[in-house]
Amino acid sequence: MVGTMAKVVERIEDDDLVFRARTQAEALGRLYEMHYERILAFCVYRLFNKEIAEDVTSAVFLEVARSIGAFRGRTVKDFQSWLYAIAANQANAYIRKTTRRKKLLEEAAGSMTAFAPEGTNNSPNWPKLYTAILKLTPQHQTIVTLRFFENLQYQQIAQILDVKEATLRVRLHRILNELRNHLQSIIDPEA
Amino acid sequence: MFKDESEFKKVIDRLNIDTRPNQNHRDNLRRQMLSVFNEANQQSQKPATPHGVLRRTIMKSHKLKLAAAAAIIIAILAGLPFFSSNGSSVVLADVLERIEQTRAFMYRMKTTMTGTMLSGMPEGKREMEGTITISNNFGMKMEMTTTNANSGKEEMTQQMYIIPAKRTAITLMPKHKKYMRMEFDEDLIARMKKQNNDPREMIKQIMGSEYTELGRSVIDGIDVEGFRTTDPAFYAGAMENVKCTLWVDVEKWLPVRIEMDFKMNEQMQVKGVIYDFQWDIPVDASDFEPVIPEDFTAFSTEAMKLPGMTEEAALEGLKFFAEITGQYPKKLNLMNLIQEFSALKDSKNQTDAALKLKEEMDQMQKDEHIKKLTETMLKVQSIGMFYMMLIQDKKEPVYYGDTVTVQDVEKVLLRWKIADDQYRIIFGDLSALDVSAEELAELEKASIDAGDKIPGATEQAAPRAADEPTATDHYNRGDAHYFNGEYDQAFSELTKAIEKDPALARAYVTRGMAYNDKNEFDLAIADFTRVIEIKPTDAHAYCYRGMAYGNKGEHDLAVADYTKAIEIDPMIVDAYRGRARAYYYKGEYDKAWKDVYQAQALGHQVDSKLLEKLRKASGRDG
Repeated sequence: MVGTMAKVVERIEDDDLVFRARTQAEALGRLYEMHYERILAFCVYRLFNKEIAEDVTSAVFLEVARSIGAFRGRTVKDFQSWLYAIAANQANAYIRKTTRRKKLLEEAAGSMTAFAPEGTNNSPNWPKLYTAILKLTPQHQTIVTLRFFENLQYQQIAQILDVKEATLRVRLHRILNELRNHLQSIIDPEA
Repeated sequence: MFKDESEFKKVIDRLNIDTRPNQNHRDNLRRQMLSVFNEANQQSQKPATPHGVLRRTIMKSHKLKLAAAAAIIIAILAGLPFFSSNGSSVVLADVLERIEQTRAFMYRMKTTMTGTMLSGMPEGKREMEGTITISNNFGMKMEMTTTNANSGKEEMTQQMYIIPAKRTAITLMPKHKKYMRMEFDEDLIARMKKQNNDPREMIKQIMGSEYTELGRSVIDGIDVEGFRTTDPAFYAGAMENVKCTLWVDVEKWLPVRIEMDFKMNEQMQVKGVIYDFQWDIPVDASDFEPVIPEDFTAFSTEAMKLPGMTEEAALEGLKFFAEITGQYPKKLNLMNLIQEFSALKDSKNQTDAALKLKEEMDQMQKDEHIKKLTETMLKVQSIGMFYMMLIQDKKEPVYYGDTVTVQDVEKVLLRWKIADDQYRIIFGDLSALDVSAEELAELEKASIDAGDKIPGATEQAAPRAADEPTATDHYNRGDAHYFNGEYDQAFSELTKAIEKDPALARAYVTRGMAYNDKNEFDLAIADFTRVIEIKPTDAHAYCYRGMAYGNKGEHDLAVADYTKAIEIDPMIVDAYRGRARAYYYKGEYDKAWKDVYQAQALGHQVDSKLLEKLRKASGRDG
C-alpha cells in the first residue's frame, strides 16, 4: 500500500515536472536525465552507430529545449511520446540528408557486436537482418525500432506516430511479412 | 526464419548492441540544451522589436482580407459540428447535461494559426483571442481579436452575434467601420439551434468519436479528469490530424479546459485552448443585440444568404467550381475548398469563365467587389457544407474528385448511403442515380475497369509516360495515406492502383481495411473476397474477411472464414483471436474460451475487453 502510494505521488510529481519544464530549467534538466539514455539507445538502434546516434540525440534535445515552451502535454508519458516522435523525425531526417547513407549505415551496422551466429535456430544473423531492415522505408524502420528494440506497447507507438492502434497492428503485420521476404531474398537470392 | 512477432522479438533480443552512454557527451549536451532553453525563454518574453513591428505583416489585399474574414465566419457557422447521438460515455453525458442546465455561460478562447489560410495571404503565425458568451435563450456573442504573433500587431477585431430567433448573424469590424448581415435558411437554423460551436458540441463530438480516458490531473488547483480523441471522424473529418483534449472538474462535472490541435488544411495548423469558464451568468436579450454605430456601413444593403445544405446547392457549387477552374475540387473539406478555389487567381491557365468573372469584378466598387467575392466563396462552400453534413449524418460519402472530370459521364464522382443497401451516386456529369450496394460496387469497378475506354476521356488519354506513376506507386501512396488516417486520398490512390493492376492483392487489402474502418463492411467484404480470389491459400485474407463479417454482425460467416484460415495455417494467432470474438457474440462461450487458450498457447493475449466480457457472460474466470 505504501509502495503504491509512493508510486502515485511519484507519478503526480513527474507530471508536475512536465508542466514546470515549460518554464523552469531545473525541471527540464531532470526530464533530460530521465530520458537521455533511452533516446540515445533509440538512436543507436535506428542508426547503428554510436557517434551518429549521439549527434542525432543532441539534435533531439536541442529541439526539445527550443519547443518545450509550446508543448501542451501534461504527463511524463505525453512527454515521452513527444520525445520519441522528435527522435524518429530527426533520425529519418538524418538518413534522408545523408547521400551516402546506405554505405554509411551498413558500415556502422557491421561494426555492431551481435550474438546470433547464422544457422542457430534457423534465425538470420545480424548483418543479414540489418540489410533487410535497411530495405524498409524510414517510417517502417522507426516502427520496428520502437516495437522490437525499445519494447514499447502498441498504444504508445500509436501515440508517438499519431495513428490508430488498429492501423499500427495491421502495418506491423505487413512490415514483418516484408522483412521475411527481404530476408528470404538475401539468404536465398535464387528463390 | 521467424514466424510471427514474438519470434522476431526473440531474434532481436539475442542481439547485443552497445548503447552505453558516453558521460562527456551526456554532460555537454545537458549544458548546451539548458543554454538553448534559457535563450528561447528570454526571447519569448521580449517585446516585439521595432523592426518586427515595421515589417509588413498585414495581408496585401484588404478586399481579400475582408472576404477571408467573412469566410471564417461562414466556416464557423457552416462548419458547426453536428450532433452524434451514439455517445457511449455516461460520464461525458453527465457533463453535457450539467452544461445544458446552465442558462448562459462564458469562456475565453485562444487560438494560434500557423501557415496560410488562403492563397495570396502571407504565411505566418496569427493568434486569435476572444471571449464567447452563449445563452440558451438568446444566442451567441463572440468578440475575437487577431494578432500577428511575430510582430504583436493587431490585425483585425470582429464582433459576431448569432441570433437564432431572427435567423441572422451580424458581424462588426470596428477597425474598418463595416458590418455584415447574413441570413440562414430553416435547415441551418434548425441545426444551429441545437448545435453551436461551443463546449457542449465538443463534448458531443468526443462522445461520438473514439476517445481515451486520460485519468486525473490538476489544473489551476482544480482536480480534473481528462478525455482525448484523435479520431479522424471527429468534427466530421472537417479537420485533419485532430487531437482534442477535454479536462472536466471532477466535483462539478463541468469543463475546465479544452485543448485542440488540428490541421485546417494542407497549409494551416491550428492550436487552441478554451478556458476560464464562467457558468450560469446573468444575461438578457439586449446583450445579444449588436449596437451598430452610425458611421458603420454595411457591405451590402441586402443581407447575404447562406446557402442551404442541400444536394441541389452542392451540385450547383460543383458546377460553378468546374466552370471557373476547369476541374472538380480535389477534396471537399471546407477549408480546402476555399483554398483550392482562391489559388485560382495565381493560376496561369485560367478558364474563360474565370477571366469573365475577374473582368466583371474588376469593374466593381470596393464594397460590391467584396460582396461578390463573398458570394462566390459561399457558392463554393455549399459543396463542403453538404459533404460535411453527409459525414455527420453518417451517410459514408466517398469522393473521387481528384480523378474524375466533367467528361467522365460514367465515372462515380461522389456517392453516399441513403438507406440500408441503397446509395446515391453523382456522376462526373453531375447526373444522379440511386443504386444498391451491389450495383454501386459494379459501377465503381466499371469506372475503374473502363479507365481510358470511357467515351470522352479516350481522346485525351495519352500513352503512359516514363515518369507516370505505376500501380505500386499508387499503392504506396494510398497505403501511406491510409496509415495517416487520410481516407479520401487513400481510397483514391488505392483505386488507381487497382485500376492499373486489377490483380494487386495488397491494394484490395488496404482498401478493404479502410472501408472496414469507415464501417462500410459490405465494400470491405467485397475487397477481401477479391483478395481470396487472387490468393486462395492466403490465410490472412480469410482473417481480414472474417473480421469484416464479424464487424457486420455476420458471426457465422466470420467463424467460417477464421476456421478456413486455421485450416490453411494452424499457427495463425489472429484467426484464433477473431474466432474467439465471433464465438462470444454467438453465445458459444466454451468454444470462445478454447480459442482464447489457443491464442495464449501461441504466445498472444486476447483483447482485454473481450476477455472481460467473456468472463462475465460465461461466469468463468478462464
